Amino acid sequence: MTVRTPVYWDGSSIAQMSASQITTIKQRCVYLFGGAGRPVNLTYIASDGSLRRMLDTSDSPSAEVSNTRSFANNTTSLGNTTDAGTSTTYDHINQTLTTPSDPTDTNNKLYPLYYDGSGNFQAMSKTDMYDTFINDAIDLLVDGNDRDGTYRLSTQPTTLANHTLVNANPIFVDTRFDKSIHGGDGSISEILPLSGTTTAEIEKWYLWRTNQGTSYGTPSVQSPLYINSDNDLQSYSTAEFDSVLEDLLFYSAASRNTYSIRYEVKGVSGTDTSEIIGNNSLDKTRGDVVTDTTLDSQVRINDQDADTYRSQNLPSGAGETETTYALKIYRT
Amino acid sequence: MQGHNLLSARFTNNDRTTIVAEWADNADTNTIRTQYMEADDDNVQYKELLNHIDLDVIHENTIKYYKNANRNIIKYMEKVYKTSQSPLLSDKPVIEIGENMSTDNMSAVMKLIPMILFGDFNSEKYSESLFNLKLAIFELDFIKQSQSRKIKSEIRKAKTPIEILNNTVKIYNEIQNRPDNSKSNKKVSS
Repeated sequence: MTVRTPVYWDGSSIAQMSASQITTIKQRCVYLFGGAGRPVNLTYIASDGSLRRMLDTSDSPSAEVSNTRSFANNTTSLGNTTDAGTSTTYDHINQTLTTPSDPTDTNNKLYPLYYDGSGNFQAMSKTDMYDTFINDAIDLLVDGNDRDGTYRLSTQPTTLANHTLVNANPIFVDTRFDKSIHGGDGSISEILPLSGTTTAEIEKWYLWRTNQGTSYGTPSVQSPLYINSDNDLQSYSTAEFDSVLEDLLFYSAASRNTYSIRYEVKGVSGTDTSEIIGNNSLDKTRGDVVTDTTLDSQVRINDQDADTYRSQNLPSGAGETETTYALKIYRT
Repeated sequence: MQGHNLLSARFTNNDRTTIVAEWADNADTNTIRTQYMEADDDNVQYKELLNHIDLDVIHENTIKYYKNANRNIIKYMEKVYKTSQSPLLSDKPVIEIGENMSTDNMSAVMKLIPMILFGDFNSEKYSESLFNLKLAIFELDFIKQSQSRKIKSEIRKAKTPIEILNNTVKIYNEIQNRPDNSKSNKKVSS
């Protein structure tokens, strides 16, 4: 790994960039990733999204038992509720990639100049550019903070500061058995047989993208010197230097080994845990984690209609988390 | 959370790996936002949360939350149980039968006996009730001990409660009148 110190024209002479100026260029890379050209994106899709699915589980009631004599006669054949007995798959997050071509440096003078310590100015190589700017910029983008152009989850449906809602449809809905069925309103005379919807929505999660400029505003960089087509030293214009950085950054994020940016849904704890294969960095959670919850208890309901004595165990109690999922960002 | 004040935070699972935090929006304190996060030292949100609340307090909040939830569950289940078992929900009186049967219930049963035995009995409509009576009779020890297959067969074939009772009393008297049962003082008058 070779980190270079680019040079620039300070108005009267050639000077080496400070560490602070180099850091600002890395931050500019983060800003550029927030633009429309970023190659790694997440979208909402109706089904079969490429990221791992999440499961919304709910407790199932026992089978209903009935007879024509008494509730007591139901006791021996009455079963228990099934914890997380029903499951709905949520696979709405789709990762899309564009594949920019590997930038070429035909004349070995595309990139900024640096002083080689032996009295010469030399153009940085592509590897130098990666080592000096791009690798660190990629690490910033995957550090788990709200970085420009990266995606996160939130329970907020309409407004989230510094973010754009990707789609109004939730990517996950946590449901539980609807406790109000058996007496939330104080009336339990006509519960059985169960009919209609028996689950209630507890929480929803949405996909958001962090807006450009969120991390560092709009970093203004000191433009370095390069060798132009006439072999003269020249400062890049802002657009020219942005283009140089973008080409490297976007190619890396899409395709470069160990410095590509990817997302995945990971079951981080509970009954449906999973691992991310092939990540070369510590995967970092983006935004709110998703919790699939169920109820932790049951209640027996007896309901008499004329000569029919019905009994059924229905889910009840407080919420318990079955699985916690997280949207992860990492490099691979 | 930027522009918000933390209201509370607690764990949501036994493993203590997931936290739910509630924040009030500074611009509108009636707007409460819920945030779910991993309790992971490497998690940005978790690190930010710990700037607002001590980890011990999160643990205390969790214990309080579940204690309260458990209390509510027990109360709720008691309420459901009482309501669900209440005669008020039934369109028929509920009579508890057993050793601790109340005098009121016993009186109610006694009043029914003459009607059941000597009234018109619809054996088709009450076939299941008749069957239950036969089952109860065959559970009696002296019926189990009896070798009188013929009388037992009559009980099985009986169409009315009084037929069942007549044949039951026959067996009872046979057993009571056996020589080896002389110690018994029990008699049933016919």
